[in-house]
Amino acid sequence: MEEQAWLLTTIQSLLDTSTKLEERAFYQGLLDLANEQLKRLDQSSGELDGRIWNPSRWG
Amino acid sequence: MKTLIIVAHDDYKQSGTQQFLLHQVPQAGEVTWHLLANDQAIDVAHEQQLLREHQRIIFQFPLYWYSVPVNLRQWQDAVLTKGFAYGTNAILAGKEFGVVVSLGEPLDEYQAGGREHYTISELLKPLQAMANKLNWQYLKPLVISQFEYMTDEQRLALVIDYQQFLTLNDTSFAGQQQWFLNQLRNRINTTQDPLKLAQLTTISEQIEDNYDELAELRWTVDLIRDEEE
Repeated sequence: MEEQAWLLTTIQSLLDTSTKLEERAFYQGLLDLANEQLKRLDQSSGELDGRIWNPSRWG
Repeated sequence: MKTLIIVAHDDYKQSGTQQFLLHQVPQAGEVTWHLLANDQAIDVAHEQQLLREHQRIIFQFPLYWYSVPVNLRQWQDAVLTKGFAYGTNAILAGKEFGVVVSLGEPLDEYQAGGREHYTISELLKPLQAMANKLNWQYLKPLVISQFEYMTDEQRLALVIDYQQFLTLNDTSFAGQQQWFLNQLRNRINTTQDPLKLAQLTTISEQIEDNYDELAELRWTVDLIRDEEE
Protein backbone atom coordinates (compact mmCIF):
# COMPACT_ATOMS: atom_id res chain seq x y z
CA MET A 1 0.00 0.00 0.00
CA GLU A 2 3.06 2.22 -0.27
CA GLU A 3 1.87 3.67 -3.55
CA GLN A 4 -1.49 4.63 -1.99
CA ALA A 5 0.26 6.42 0.88
CA TRP A 6 2.40 8.21 -1.70
CA LEU A 7 -0.75 9.19 -3.62
CA LEU A 8 -2.40 10.80 -0.59
CA THR A 9 0.78 12.53 0.58
CA THR A 10 1.51 13.95 -2.86
CA ILE A 11 -2.00 15.32 -3.38
CA GLN A 12 -1.87 16.80 0.12
CA SER A 13 1.44 18.53 -0.62
CA LEU A 14 0.05 19.99 -3.87
CA LEU A 15 -2.96 21.19 -1.87
CA ASP A 16 -0.73 22.77 0.79
CA THR A 17 1.43 24.60 -1.73
CA SER A 18 -1.43 25.91 -3.89
CA THR A 19 -2.57 29.46 -3.32
CA LYS A 20 -5.30 29.90 -5.94
CA LEU A 21 -8.77 28.96 -4.75
CA GLU A 22 -9.56 26.98 -7.90
CA GLU A 23 -6.34 24.93 -7.49
CA ARG A 24 -6.98 24.24 -3.82
CA ALA A 25 -10.55 23.20 -4.60
CA PHE A 26 -9.31 20.79 -7.26
CA TYR A 27 -6.71 19.14 -5.01
CA GLN A 28 -9.13 18.96 -2.08
CA GLY A 29 -11.68 17.28 -4.37
CA LEU A 30 -9.02 14.93 -5.72
CA LEU A 31 -7.91 14.02 -2.19
CA ASP A 32 -11.52 13.26 -1.22
CA LEU A 33 -11.88 11.14 -4.36
CA ALA A 34 -8.67 9.18 -3.65
CA ASN A 35 -9.80 8.52 -0.06
CA GLU A 36 -13.18 7.33 -1.33
CA GLN A 37 -11.42 5.00 -3.80
CA LEU A 38 -9.33 3.49 -0.99
CA LYS A 39 -12.39 3.04 1.22
CA ARG A 40 -14.28 1.28 -1.58
CA LEU A 41 -11.28 -0.88 -2.49
CA ASP A 42 -11.03 -1.94 1.14
CA GLN A 43 -14.78 -2.65 1.40
CA SER A 44 -14.94 -4.54 -1.89
CA SER A 45 -11.91 -6.72 -1.15
CA GLY A 46 -13.39 -7.41 2.31
CA GLU A 47 -16.66 -8.44 0.72
CA LEU A 48 -14.84 -10.65 -1.76
CA ASP A 49 -12.92 -12.40 1.06
CA GLY A 50 -16.16 -12.89 2.97
CA ARG A 51 -17.95 -14.41 0.01
CA ILE A 52 -15.06 -16.71 -0.93
CA TRP A 53 -14.82 -17.87 2.72
CA ASN A 54 -18.12 -19.68 2.62
CA PRO A 55 -18.24 -22.86 4.82
CA SER A 56 -21.65 -23.89 3.46
CA ARG A 57 -19.98 -24.63 0.13
CA TRP A 58 -17.25 -26.83 1.60
CA GLY A 59 -19.31 -29.93 0.71
CA MET B 1 -21.69 18.70 -24.43
CA LYS B 2 -22.18 22.49 -24.38
CA THR B 3 -23.63 24.17 -21.33
CA LEU B 4 -25.41 27.52 -21.21
CA ILE B 5 -25.63 29.31 -17.86
CA ILE B 6 -28.40 31.91 -17.86
CA VAL B 7 -27.70 34.22 -14.93
CA ALA B 8 -30.48 36.41 -13.52
CA HIS B 9 -29.71 38.83 -10.72
CA ASP B 10 -30.78 42.43 -10.17
CA ASP B 11 -27.28 43.45 -9.04
CA TYR B 12 -24.88 40.63 -9.83
CA LYS B 13 -21.73 42.78 -9.43
CA GLN B 14 -22.54 43.24 -5.75
CA SER B 15 -23.45 39.60 -5.25
CA GLY B 16 -20.70 37.61 -3.54
CA THR B 17 -22.29 34.35 -4.67
CA GLN B 18 -22.51 35.33 -8.34
CA GLN B 19 -18.98 36.77 -8.45
CA PHE B 20 -17.62 33.62 -6.83
CA LEU B 21 -19.44 31.36 -9.31
CA LEU B 22 -18.37 33.49 -12.28
CA HIS B 23 -14.71 32.91 -11.40
CA GLN B 24 -15.22 29.15 -11.13
CA VAL B 25 -16.68 28.62 -14.60
CA PRO B 26 -14.28 26.12 -16.26
CA GLN B 27 -12.17 27.81 -18.92
CA ALA B 28 -11.41 24.63 -20.81
CA GLY B 29 -14.97 23.32 -21.00
CA GLU B 30 -17.62 24.33 -23.47
CA VAL B 31 -19.51 26.55 -21.07
CA THR B 32 -21.21 29.83 -21.97
CA TRP B 33 -21.90 32.30 -19.17
CA HIS B 34 -24.81 34.53 -20.14
CA LEU B 35 -26.01 37.38 -17.93
CA LEU B 36 -29.55 38.62 -18.51
CA ALA B 37 -29.68 42.42 -18.69
CA ASN B 38 -32.06 44.13 -16.29
CA ASP B 39 -33.11 47.12 -18.30
CA GLN B 40 -32.80 46.22 -21.98
CA ALA B 41 -35.23 44.69 -24.42
CA ILE B 42 -34.69 40.95 -24.92
CA ASP B 43 -33.17 39.99 -28.27
CA VAL B 44 -35.40 36.97 -28.79
CA ALA B 45 -33.64 35.64 -31.90
CA HIS B 46 -30.26 35.75 -30.14
CA GLU B 47 -31.60 34.05 -27.01
CA GLN B 48 -33.26 31.32 -29.05
CA GLN B 49 -30.04 30.77 -31.00
CA LEU B 50 -28.16 30.30 -27.69
CA LEU B 51 -30.68 27.66 -26.65
CA ARG B 52 -30.28 25.85 -29.96
CA GLU B 53 -26.50 25.75 -29.61
CA HIS B 54 -26.38 24.25 -26.10
CA GLN B 55 -27.36 20.88 -24.73
CA ARG B 56 -27.49 21.63 -20.99
CA ILE B 57 -29.38 24.76 -19.96
CA ILE B 58 -28.85 26.23 -16.47
CA PHE B 59 -30.95 28.87 -14.72
CA GLN B 60 -28.79 30.54 -12.06
CA PHE B 61 -30.49 32.99 -9.72
CA PRO B 62 -31.22 34.01 -6.12
CA LEU B 63 -34.66 32.91 -4.87
CA TYR B 64 -36.83 36.04 -4.67
CA TRP B 65 -40.19 35.60 -2.97
CA TYR B 66 -39.94 31.87 -3.67
CA SER B 67 -39.59 32.51 -7.38
CA VAL B 68 -37.17 33.55 -10.13
CA PRO B 69 -36.11 37.22 -10.54
CA VAL B 70 -38.41 39.27 -12.75
CA ASN B 71 -36.01 39.45 -15.72
CA LEU B 72 -35.84 35.66 -15.90
CA ARG B 73 -39.61 35.45 -15.73
CA GLN B 74 -39.82 37.95 -18.64
CA TRP B 75 -37.20 35.94 -20.52
CA GLN B 76 -39.37 32.82 -20.21
CA ASP B 77 -42.37 34.66 -21.70
CA ALA B 78 -40.40 36.17 -24.55
CA VAL B 79 -38.08 33.30 -25.53
CA LEU B 80 -39.88 30.03 -24.79
CA THR B 81 -42.49 30.50 -27.46
CA LYS B 82 -44.99 28.04 -28.88
CA GLY B 83 -43.72 26.43 -32.07
CA PHE B 84 -40.12 26.97 -30.98
CA ALA B 85 -39.89 25.66 -27.42
CA TYR B 86 -43.06 23.58 -27.26
CA GLY B 87 -46.03 22.56 -29.39
CA THR B 88 -46.04 21.53 -33.04
CA ASN B 89 -42.66 21.91 -34.78
CA ALA B 90 -40.88 22.66 -31.52
CA ILE B 91 -37.16 22.01 -31.76
CA LEU B 92 -35.91 22.23 -28.19
CA ALA B 93 -36.90 18.82 -26.82
CA GLY B 94 -34.31 16.53 -25.26
CA LYS B 95 -32.14 19.08 -23.48
CA GLU B 96 -30.97 18.87 -19.88
CA PHE B 97 -32.13 21.53 -17.47
CA GLY B 98 -30.43 22.50 -14.21
CA VAL B 99 -31.13 25.09 -11.54
CA VAL B 100 -28.43 26.81 -9.47
CA VAL B 101 -30.35 28.65 -6.79
CA SER B 102 -28.99 30.71 -3.92
CA LEU B 103 -30.82 31.25 -0.64
CA GLY B 104 -30.52 33.86 2.09
CA GLU B 105 -31.90 31.49 4.72
CA PRO B 106 -30.39 28.24 5.99
CA LEU B 107 -31.36 25.26 3.84
CA ASP B 108 -32.76 23.29 6.78
CA GLU B 109 -35.46 25.93 7.27
CA TYR B 110 -36.91 24.81 3.94
CA GLN B 111 -38.87 21.84 5.21
CA ALA B 112 -42.12 21.16 7.02
CA GLY B 113 -41.77 22.64 10.49
CA GLY B 114 -38.95 24.97 9.41
CA ARG B 115 -39.35 28.75 9.16
CA GLU B 116 -39.85 28.60 5.39
CA HIS B 117 -42.12 25.57 5.71
CA TYR B 118 -41.82 24.32 2.11
CA THR B 119 -38.98 22.31 0.58
CA ILE B 120 -36.86 23.59 -2.30
CA SER B 121 -38.31 20.81 -4.47
CA GLU B 122 -41.81 22.13 -3.77
CA LEU B 123 -40.84 25.75 -4.40
CA LEU B 124 -39.10 24.93 -7.70
CA LYS B 125 -42.12 23.03 -9.04
CA PRO B 126 -42.95 25.73 -11.65
CA LEU B 127 -39.49 25.24 -13.20
CA GLN B 128 -39.88 21.49 -13.06
CA ALA B 129 -43.23 21.89 -14.84
CA MET B 130 -41.55 24.08 -17.45
CA ALA B 131 -38.92 21.36 -18.05
CA ASN B 132 -41.68 18.79 -18.35
CA LYS B 133 -43.55 20.93 -20.89
CA LEU B 134 -40.40 21.40 -22.96
CA ASN B 135 -39.38 17.73 -22.71
CA TRP B 136 -36.19 18.67 -20.92
CA GLN B 137 -34.57 16.35 -18.40
CA TYR B 138 -34.71 18.03 -14.98
CA LEU B 139 -31.40 17.67 -13.11
CA LYS B 140 -31.03 17.61 -9.33
CA PRO B 141 -30.71 21.34 -8.45
CA LEU B 142 -27.57 22.84 -6.95
CA VAL B 143 -28.70 24.78 -3.88
CA ILE B 144 -26.35 27.35 -2.34
CA SER B 145 -27.48 28.40 1.09
CA GLN B 146 -26.04 31.44 2.89
CA PHE B 147 -22.88 31.73 0.82
CA GLU B 148 -21.52 34.54 3.00
CA TYR B 149 -21.41 32.27 6.05
CA MET B 150 -19.71 29.36 4.28
CA THR B 151 -16.37 28.16 5.65
CA ASP B 152 -13.28 27.95 3.46
CA GLU B 153 -13.73 24.19 3.27
CA GLN B 154 -17.37 24.52 2.20
CA ARG B 155 -16.39 27.00 -0.52
CA LEU B 156 -13.73 24.63 -1.88
CA ALA B 157 -16.37 21.89 -2.07
CA LEU B 158 -18.77 24.32 -3.79
CA VAL B 159 -16.21 24.98 -6.55
CA ILE B 160 -16.09 21.29 -7.47
CA ASP B 161 -19.86 20.80 -7.05
CA TYR B 162 -20.48 23.76 -9.36
CA GLN B 163 -17.96 22.71 -12.00
CA GLN B 164 -19.34 19.19 -12.00
CA PHE B 165 -22.89 20.54 -12.19
CA LEU B 166 -21.90 22.35 -15.38
CA THR B 167 -19.89 19.61 -17.06
CA LEU B 168 -20.42 16.18 -15.50
CA ASN B 169 -22.44 13.68 -17.56
CA ASP B 170 -22.51 10.71 -15.23
CA THR B 171 -23.02 11.50 -11.53
CA SER B 172 -22.12 7.98 -10.34
CA PHE B 173 -18.78 7.40 -8.59
CA ALA B 174 -17.42 5.96 -11.85
CA GLY B 175 -18.42 9.19 -13.60
CA GLN B 176 -16.76 11.27 -10.89
CA GLN B 177 -13.52 9.34 -11.20
CA GLN B 178 -13.55 9.87 -14.98
CA TRP B 179 -14.22 13.58 -14.47
CA PHE B 180 -11.16 13.96 -12.22
CA LEU B 181 -9.03 11.92 -14.63
CA ASN B 182 -10.06 14.30 -17.42
CA GLN B 183 -9.19 17.30 -15.29
CA LEU B 184 -5.81 15.74 -14.50
CA ARG B 185 -5.14 15.21 -18.21
CA ASN B 186 -5.93 18.90 -18.89
CA ARG B 187 -3.51 19.95 -16.14
CA ILE B 188 -0.80 17.60 -17.38
CA ASN B 189 -1.12 19.14 -20.85
CA THR B 190 -0.72 22.69 -19.56
CA THR B 191 1.84 22.31 -16.76
CA GLN B 192 5.35 23.65 -17.49
CA ASP B 193 6.99 22.78 -14.17
CA PRO B 194 8.76 19.39 -14.64
CA LEU B 195 8.40 18.31 -10.99
CA LYS B 196 4.69 19.08 -10.95
CA LEU B 197 4.26 17.38 -14.29
CA ALA B 198 5.86 14.21 -12.91
CA GLN B 199 3.70 14.33 -9.78
CA LEU B 200 0.47 14.88 -11.75
CA THR B 201 1.33 12.08 -14.17
CA THR B 202 1.97 9.57 -11.38
CA ILE B 203 -1.16 10.70 -9.49
CA SER B 204 -3.21 10.24 -12.65
CA GLU B 205 -1.77 6.75 -13.22
CA GLN B 206 -2.47 5.72 -9.62
CA ILE B 207 -6.05 7.07 -9.69
CA GLU B 208 -6.61 5.19 -12.94
CA ASP B 209 -5.12 1.95 -11.50
CA ASN B 210 -7.46 2.29 -8.51
CA TYR B 211 -10.38 2.88 -10.86
CA ASP B 212 -9.57 -0.29 -12.83
CA GLU B 213 -8.97 -2.37 -9.71
CA LEU B 214 -12.23 -1.18 -8.17
CA ALA B 215 -14.18 -2.01 -11.34
CA GLU B 216 -12.62 -5.48 -11.47
CA LEU B 217 -13.32 -6.16 -7.79
CA ARG B 218 -16.94 -5.06 -8.14
CA TRP B 219 -17.32 -7.28 -11.20
CA THR B 220 -15.98 -10.32 -9.32
CA VAL B 221 -18.07 -9.65 -6.21
CA ASP B 222 -21.22 -9.23 -8.32
CA LEU B 223 -20.46 -12.47 -10.13
CA ILE B 224 -20.11 -14.45 -6.88
CA ARG B 225 -23.18 -12.74 -5.43
CA ASP B 226 -25.26 -13.68 -8.49
CA GLU B 227 -24.10 -17.30 -8.22
CA GLU B 228 -25.10 -17.45 -4.57
CA GLU B 229 -28.55 -15.94 -5.05
